[in-house]
Amino acid sequence: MNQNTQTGGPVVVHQLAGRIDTSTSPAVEAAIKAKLAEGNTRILLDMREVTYVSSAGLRVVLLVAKQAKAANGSLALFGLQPSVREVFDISGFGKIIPIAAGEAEARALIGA
Amino acid sequence: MSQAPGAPALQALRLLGTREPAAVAALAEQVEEFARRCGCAAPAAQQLALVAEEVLTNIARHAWPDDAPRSFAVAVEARRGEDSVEVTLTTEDDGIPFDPTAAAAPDLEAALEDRPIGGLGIHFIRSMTDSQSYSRVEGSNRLILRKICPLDRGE
Repeated sequence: MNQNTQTGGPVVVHQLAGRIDTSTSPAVEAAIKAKLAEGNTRILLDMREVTYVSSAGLRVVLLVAKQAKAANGSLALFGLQPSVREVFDISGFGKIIPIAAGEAEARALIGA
Repeated sequence: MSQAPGAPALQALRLLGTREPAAVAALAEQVEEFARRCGCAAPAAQQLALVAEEVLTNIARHAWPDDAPRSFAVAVEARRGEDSVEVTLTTEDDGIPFDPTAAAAPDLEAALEDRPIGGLGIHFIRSMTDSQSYSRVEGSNRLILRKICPLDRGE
């Protein structure tokens, strides 16, 4: 069998959709944090249906990535639409947040 | 869809901003839709929404020290050229003097642990618009942002 030395908790996949902006980001933040508090420190964000991410959305991603890391977990994103990917690149987040094309690759990034 | 060859050369949209996040988000979306109607390519129109959301959020949260309901003026103008649309976004609020064009940019090279939460707004505004000008006019902050958007050429 394959050896998996990852000791992190279970993986949770959040499927997000629509616009993540100053109005909708608090609900996204609350949902991810609730799972994090339950010990789900390995987090995947499924971004395929997300059409718009403003800095309010980026703030949530950064916040959650920091909290996951502090709890010995990690966070990765996958399925970003080109315009959303551009926002991550302009902000420099593309360099500090693991981003994958698909879910399998994203799971590999967080050792799941 | 929004190529609109018969669209007038100059179109304008005047809006009233308020402080609730839902109102700010809706206004940013209206700016995006207006830009699309005026012939801007989709990525540029979305950048205008991102910039509008930054500017409006900043006014809504910080222009007045109290939590009282306030409103502020938002105007969008689109001038159609040969192969581009020049969009001007102007905001005017009677809050405390604040020049967002003078704000410090975030360190984009910082590691995850060192990267502060927030501070991206001014970076978005600078990277996604072609010019930014601030003035304090008769007790109001006036911010004028200009973006040259490529024309939507369809698919």
